[in-house]
Amino acid sequence: MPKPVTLPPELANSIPKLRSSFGLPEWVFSGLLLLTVSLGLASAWILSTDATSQLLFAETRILLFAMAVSVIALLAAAAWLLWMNARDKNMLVAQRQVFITNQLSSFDSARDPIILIHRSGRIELANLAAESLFGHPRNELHGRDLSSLIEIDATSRDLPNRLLLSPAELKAGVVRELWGRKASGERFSIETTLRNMAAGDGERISVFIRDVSERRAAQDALRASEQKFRLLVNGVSDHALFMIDPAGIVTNWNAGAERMSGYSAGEVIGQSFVRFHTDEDNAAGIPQQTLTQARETGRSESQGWRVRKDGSRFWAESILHAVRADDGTLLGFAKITRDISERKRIEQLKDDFVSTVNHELRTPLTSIAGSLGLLAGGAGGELQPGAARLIGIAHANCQRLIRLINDMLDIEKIQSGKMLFKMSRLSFADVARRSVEAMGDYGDVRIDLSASEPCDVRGDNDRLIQVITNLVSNAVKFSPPKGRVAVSMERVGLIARLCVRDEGPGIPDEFRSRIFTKFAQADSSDTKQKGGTGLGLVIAKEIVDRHGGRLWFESDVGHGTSFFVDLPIVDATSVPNWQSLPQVLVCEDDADTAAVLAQVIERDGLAVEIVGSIREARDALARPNAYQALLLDLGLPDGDGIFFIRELRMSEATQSLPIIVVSAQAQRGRDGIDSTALNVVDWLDKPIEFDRLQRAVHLALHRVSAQRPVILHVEDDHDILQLTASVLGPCGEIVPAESLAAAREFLARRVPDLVILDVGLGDGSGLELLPDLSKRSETLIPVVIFSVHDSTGLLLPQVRAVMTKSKTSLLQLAQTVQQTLDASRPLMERKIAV
Amino acid sequence: MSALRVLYVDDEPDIREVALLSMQLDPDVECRAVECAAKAIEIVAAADWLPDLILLDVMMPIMDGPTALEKLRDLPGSAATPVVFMTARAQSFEKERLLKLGAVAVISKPFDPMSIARQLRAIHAAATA
Repeated sequence: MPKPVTLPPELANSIPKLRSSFGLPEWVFSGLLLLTVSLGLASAWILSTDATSQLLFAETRILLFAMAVSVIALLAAAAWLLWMNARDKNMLVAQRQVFITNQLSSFDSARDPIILIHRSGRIELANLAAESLFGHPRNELHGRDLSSLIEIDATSRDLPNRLLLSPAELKAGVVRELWGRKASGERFSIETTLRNMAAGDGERISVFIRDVSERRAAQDALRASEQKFRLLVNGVSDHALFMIDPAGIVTNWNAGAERMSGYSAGEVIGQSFVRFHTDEDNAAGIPQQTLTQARETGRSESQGWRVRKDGSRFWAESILHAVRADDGTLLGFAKITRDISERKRIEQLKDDFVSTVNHELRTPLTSIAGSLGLLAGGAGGELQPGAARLIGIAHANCQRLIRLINDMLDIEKIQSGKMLFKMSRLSFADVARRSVEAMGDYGDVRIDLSASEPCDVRGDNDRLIQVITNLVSNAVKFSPPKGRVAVSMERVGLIARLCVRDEGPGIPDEFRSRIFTKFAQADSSDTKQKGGTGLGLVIAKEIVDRHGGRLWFESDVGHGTSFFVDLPIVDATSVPNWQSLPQVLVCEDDADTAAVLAQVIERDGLAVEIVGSIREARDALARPNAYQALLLDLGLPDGDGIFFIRELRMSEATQSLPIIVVSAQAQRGRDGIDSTALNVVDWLDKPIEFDRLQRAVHLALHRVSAQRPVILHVEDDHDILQLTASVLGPCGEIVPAESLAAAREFLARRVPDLVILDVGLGDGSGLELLPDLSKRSETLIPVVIFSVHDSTGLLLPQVRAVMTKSKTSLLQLAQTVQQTLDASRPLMERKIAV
Repeated sequence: MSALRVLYVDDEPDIREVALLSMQLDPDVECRAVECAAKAIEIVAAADWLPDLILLDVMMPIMDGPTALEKLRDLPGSAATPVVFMTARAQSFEKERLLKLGAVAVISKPFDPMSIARQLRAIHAAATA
């Protein structure tokens, strides 16, 4: 409700004064009326006197009298009409005054500027907001034309005043964007809407005004930036820049993309982006993998062949960015692709060159090293001492040259990013032990290894051995005679730290900054003495860096040096024993696909072993109970996957082994055969959906563990044991225990999935077992109490049901046991998927 | 037990000689070295001296190691004989490629002359176990 306001005096004065229709004041009417009446009375008096009677005939006098009376009556009537008219006018003006006052009160409370105009365009009223917007005091505005505030004609010549104020415009409430002009002369953007005033005399129109200069400025800025961006994106002709939606559908396409691929925007927008990839990549699910990675990590980079419209291929480097809304919803991906065929070609040339040089150097070295090795080994007969020494020098330097070539190849591979790391979960201590054991002759230097703490890391076994071997052999080289090299392992927070400590001369201060640079050795004479290549530490550091770790050192000149390798510990707390992890065998001939599968499975804390053929899979599965599940490709080099599954199902050891088929022909393999007989957990097509793969693996492991849940039944009544065993058979493997001692003996060996407990036993109460159970497993082993005693009051977290023998049928017991097992399954799954 | 018969193919005469000398150090190895794959195929086809193990250089003119392996597999005398490649291309992907072709092992050049015979006996034992 608009609050009534008092009319300001200057405004009250501006309201038109009460006027007659002739523009004369009121007293004129009163005077006129008075004059008429006095005139009439005077004429009547004159006519009735004798003076006039002598001058005129009686008839004439009567006529004149009548005429005078008529004139008086007419004049009186006219005066009365005029007076009435004036009174109406007066009332109308008063009404308008009230109306305007009301309007003003509501106008002034309005936030938006409003101007009340007459149909002619004359301003009658402006509210406070309008006043402050235009900067004119409003009493100055009254009576002026609207065009002094709003550029009606200047902005739109086709929109003259009368059109703006046309009835159609008013009726439709059209919003116009126009220019306003402030008192300062400044032009600014406004939006106007007109409304006919229903109240009053219908001649007035309210003009609603909105200042849109900010919005206009923002729009202009946006348009300008959009245009700049469009020009930029389109101007980029050597990069393909395009967007794809979450499902992989192309949503826009720049000139570079068109130039690179040969497809125009019209041909591509609305199509899946996989069409730019090769059939091989699509079959392996590589494009989808990049999307998955970008979705999960925000971006993904890849290199590979792309296919042009004409079918030709080019080698491309792509970066995919996930584009998300403020609330995290995935809107799609921005993809930048560059044709790097030329770079690839140059790299290939370099690779070929390196490979050729390597080969050409090795060929003569093979003869030299072989001959020297034979001579030094005495194959050419006993050598004279002088000759033996010379042969020894030649042989040692030949070995050094070979190491140098190997190291240079390694450096080249690492620096070009081509060194492939086969990452797996490793015990760092084991790697250290193996490295030291594999060390050759290290003279009279003693190597002490103390690596008691088990620290699992993720790494490439061979490369880590290379690092440790390098550090230890360095330490040995710089050790004094009969010196000691200590190799130790410790756990520092989340880091596994290997330390190799020597008692050598230490690293001089001036050399410390150069220790990880190529061919850096403290003293050039060292090169000869120590037989190093000057590349070992560079390679070691690169390898450690690639493992997400750190290689560093501490040195005390004159006392020795310690080199440290820090690597992040993998899940050490949750899975202390690597050997105990469920093993999954992956049978897949394509090494890259196998690595991807392994990665997905390992992410769930499972161990993976990869084999590339049916023959190897058969050998691996011959080891009893080695694997919990098998992932099988159908198209293997040495046989048909389906036949292999049939073969496995015939053997007792593998007849219930959970098998997941992962193949480009999974569905085809399934068609036309009775797939139920093969009892396959899931048939996964390539490209692989990782979520589905994870679910299938969970399901497979669940089958293993849920296949025969182990139920420990502690009960001293032999007959009841036998009876329950016959009823509970379908639920799982029943292990009877007739005493506490027997139950404890079993618990020492195995963890049951469920325990049925009798309370009153010969050697104590069954409840005494509860602490043993909680000690035995981290997750609560569910317990069902089945006893003659009514122990329903027993409220312990692991007790899932309390059943009294006299009140419970064996069938009810079986049902409860089954339900309890079913309910604890998710727990078991979680236990696997740590 | 009779000596292990090794048929060795390498086009480099010096390396061939050194390798032959190395293997002759081991009385349990009997080695015949030839300079090209064609000669090896001849020997196997003649069938009067069938090798227990074939050692093939990879890069050879006329017929390279992998092609020789394929040809030897077609002969009844060497259809199942374990084949070992010897190569100066020591990169691991190269080794993997060679193993995929059906070799039982890859020995990189330069080899250790004092232990190569022992290595070959071990490889043979593992491949035929």
